[in-house]
Amino acid sequence: MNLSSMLTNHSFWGLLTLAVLVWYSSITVYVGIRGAFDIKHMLRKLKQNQEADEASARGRDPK
Amino acid sequence: MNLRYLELAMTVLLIGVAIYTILGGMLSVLVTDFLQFNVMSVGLLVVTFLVLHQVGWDKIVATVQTHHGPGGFNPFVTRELGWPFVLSNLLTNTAAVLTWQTCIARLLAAKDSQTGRKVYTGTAFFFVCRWVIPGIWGIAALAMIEPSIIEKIGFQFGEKEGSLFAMPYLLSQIVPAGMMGLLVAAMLAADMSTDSSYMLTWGSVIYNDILAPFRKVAWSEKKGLLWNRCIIALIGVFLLIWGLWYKLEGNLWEYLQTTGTIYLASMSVLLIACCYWKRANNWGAIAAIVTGAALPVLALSLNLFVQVPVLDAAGQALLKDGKAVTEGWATHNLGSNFVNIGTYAAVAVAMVIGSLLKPKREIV
Repeated sequence: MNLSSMLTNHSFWGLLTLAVLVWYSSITVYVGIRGAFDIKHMLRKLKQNQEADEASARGRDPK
Repeated sequence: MNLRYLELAMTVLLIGVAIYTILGGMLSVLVTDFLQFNVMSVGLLVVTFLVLHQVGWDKIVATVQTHHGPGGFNPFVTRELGWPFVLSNLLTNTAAVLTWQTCIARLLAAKDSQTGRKVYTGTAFFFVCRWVIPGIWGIAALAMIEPSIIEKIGFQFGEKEGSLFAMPYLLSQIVPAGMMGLLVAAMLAADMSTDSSYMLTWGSVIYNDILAPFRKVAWSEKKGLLWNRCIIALIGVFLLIWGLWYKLEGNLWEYLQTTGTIYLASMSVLLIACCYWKRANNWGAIAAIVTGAALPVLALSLNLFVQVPVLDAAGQALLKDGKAVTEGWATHNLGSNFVNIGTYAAVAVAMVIGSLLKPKREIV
């Protein structure tokens, strides 16, 4: 991948392509790491809500 | 290789996606979309770097220059594209970002408007990526593959046009065997994520909006869930027939744009008018929706049932394999760009006239 030719040969499209690659790579890493944490947190919260609902349902029905 | 195997694989994939979407709903789509995004992104990036390394930027630029001249870099200077192409795509993409269900479902699921705004500002550039990356692959295929090979491949698969196979053929030549697995996984991930998003988001529109007038009494959760699952299954069948088995003739993007305009033109005009114009009302909305549907359907019908011979520069009928080349009436006389632009304009006019025709309610 010849960076200098991307910056000189039709530089608008070259720079746009470089910006796409840099941005997309960064976003992939960010979403990969941050997304994993967010999903883990979401699943934990859903489990807690489900346990709370089950506990309150058991509390309402003494049988 | 028989193309039927590909169709069979895609069918099995769609059924698998339908099953986890029906059973898991938004939660399953959220988790699988996340995994699929990561696999797809890594695959796309690795292959793009590979393409640029193997083919080279100079060769890519030279190919565009050879085949399309200055028009390949600036759409305004070429007769085939020009301002109608740019305006038509600007309208389509603006409307899609505002109202296409797979975009808007994520926005409306945000916890507050600040988060919603971040969703758009943070991801807007992604729309550039999704156009540039496949474009680079396509141009690289044009640069590297001889037209005779493309024709041969098309023949092999019983297709009139072999250009559809140019890019996959290029990738099969330049992607190493070990990385091919990653690429295939990326493509499958992209397909699955798209299928599940469409099934879930349009399913929720049909259930919440279209079926709402039929729910005089609130439905139980069990009944609502059953209806949702049935709707998702039916959308899956629709995707299978219309997206995979239906054989499309002609330019795929123009077809997608025109059919998308049926929804996009009216919904985007409606949204903007209702947010920013106090006189907008349901009469205008109905007029906009009817106009937005009628005009593209009319154009598609004319293209399907009225074929016009294509003439060369000397005014003689163009022949291919001994047969006259024809195209649809609307494409020949108007062009799909003007059909789209005209629809948006007509919908805006219908919205205004319809709204103004409704008598103002007197405030007592």
